[in-house]
Amino acid sequence: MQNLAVTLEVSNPTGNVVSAPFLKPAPRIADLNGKRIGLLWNFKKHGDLVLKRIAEALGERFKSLEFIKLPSGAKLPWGAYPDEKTIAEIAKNQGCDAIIGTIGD
Amino acid sequence: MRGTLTLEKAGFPTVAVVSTPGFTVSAKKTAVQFGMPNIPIVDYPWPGHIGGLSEDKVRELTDKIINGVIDGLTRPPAEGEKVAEKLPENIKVAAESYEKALEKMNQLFLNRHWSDGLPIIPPTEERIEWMLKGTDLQSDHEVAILEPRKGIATVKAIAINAVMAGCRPEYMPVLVAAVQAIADPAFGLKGPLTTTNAVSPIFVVNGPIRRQLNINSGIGCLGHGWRANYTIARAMKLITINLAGTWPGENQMAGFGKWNFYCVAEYEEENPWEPLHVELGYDRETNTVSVFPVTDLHIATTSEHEVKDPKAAMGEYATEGPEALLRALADNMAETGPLGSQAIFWGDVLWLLATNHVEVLAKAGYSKAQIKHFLYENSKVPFYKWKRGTYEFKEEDAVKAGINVSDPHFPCPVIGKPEDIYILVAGGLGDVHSAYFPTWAGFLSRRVTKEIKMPANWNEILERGQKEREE
Repeated sequence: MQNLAVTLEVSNPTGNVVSAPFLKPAPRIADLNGKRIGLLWNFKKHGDLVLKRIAEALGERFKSLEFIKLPSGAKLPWGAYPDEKTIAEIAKNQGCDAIIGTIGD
Repeated sequence: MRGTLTLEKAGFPTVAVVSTPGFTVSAKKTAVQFGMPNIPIVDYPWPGHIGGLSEDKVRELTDKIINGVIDGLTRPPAEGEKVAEKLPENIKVAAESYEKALEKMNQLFLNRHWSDGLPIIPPTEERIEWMLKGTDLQSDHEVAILEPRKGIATVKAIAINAVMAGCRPEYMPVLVAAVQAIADPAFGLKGPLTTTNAVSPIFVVNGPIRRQLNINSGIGCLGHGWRANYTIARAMKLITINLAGTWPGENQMAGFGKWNFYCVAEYEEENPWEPLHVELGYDRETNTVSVFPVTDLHIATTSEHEVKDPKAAMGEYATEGPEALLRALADNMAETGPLGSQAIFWGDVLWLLATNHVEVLAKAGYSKAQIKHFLYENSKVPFYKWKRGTYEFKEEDAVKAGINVSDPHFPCPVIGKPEDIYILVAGGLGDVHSAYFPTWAGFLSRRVTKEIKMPANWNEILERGQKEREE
């Protein structure tokens, strides 16, 4: 049996966090036919090509799907570094039903 | 990720397509911090960056995730992922001897991603209380909230990491101000910590506190040998690990990691112009700490400061004299580029000018402002070089910045404006090696300076520290 003669008592260095309340995800769309989908490109290379192919593939499967390139924020073009502060209002004004976004580098 | 999370919160069903492996953990952590742990995230089926793939390959790979995208938009997400249990505030590590307990504790901390890989000083209650004697702030005082984890940097939490790093109590006022600096929205902490680029902060200290704490500004000032320089930098690194909550490969995505956090004092005594904090409007006797989001240092070495040949070429072809020195420094900036990528996203750059270089330029009558303008104008690179050194080049951005994209030799600046060049003095006396720190993305992160608030009992803290070091 080990003789554990020494005990070091030390503090957790990570402290506390500002806890975020649990948020329910938005309701999903039962039927994609006839919907308007916003494409959010995070400005990283080839993210636009990924979104382009997704739009093409979904367009082959669903009728009357509309895609719009969601501007990255107020006064920003599509594909600029997204400005999260204004993006929800833009999506609403553009009449989006759902969003597909790219993350990564 | 925040863009899609913001939209999800606003009521839009979203799907986030993660186009680079390794970013999935980061995306999930961000989602948890946002309060939406089960938002649909689709992984792209490619083991690296997709920026180098052909369009055909991108199409082929994208086809493999279409069903996942459709599911993400149409099927209710699975019930929330279990949020990680909160670990206890105190941990007991038992072993047969002190040495073994120390080894066990170090391994435990590393396993939990609470350490940087070097041995740490155990943050025992006794050591934390000792460290807290370096400040007159209450231990539960909240100094800042640190992104991306939204960790609460209380004075005690800072002190715990300072103990681990090997700091002395009298470094606490610098650390508190440094934490305030990195938490400032202008520094945009999440960006420098999580980018794939090799960004590391450098902390520059000004004011009388430099000499009181023996923060080195002279020979060896960026290397080892001075406890304040090394341990303040290390404490800040541990704080970004533990309180800001970043770890390589999880949400700290720099391919080469954050290899260096520097802490250095400006060599104000050898500065013929105004030191940084005075340039920024502080009194000379005020203590400040400035943090710069930079990529690592490049050395510019030049020593032909004397014009020996009366027929020596001047102007663009200068090889001797103060102008040649300035051109050599500008060449260094041009070769380094805006940061080797992301031109247009110009940010703040930093020169630690060698004392010899400073002497030559001051003697020749150059002011700091003149040096900045000279370096800005003469570090421009022809468009063809500027373009090929730029990751994610977009022609419309270049045109917007006034660059004539139809002229391959159009001179393109590597800095946004001369005022973005910070000129400080440091290094050994008579040295001919200046240190240049290129920038990162200026639209995401900028230099921030904070005043170091001194404790009411500062003299007493210094005297205690002096006595302890002499024992």
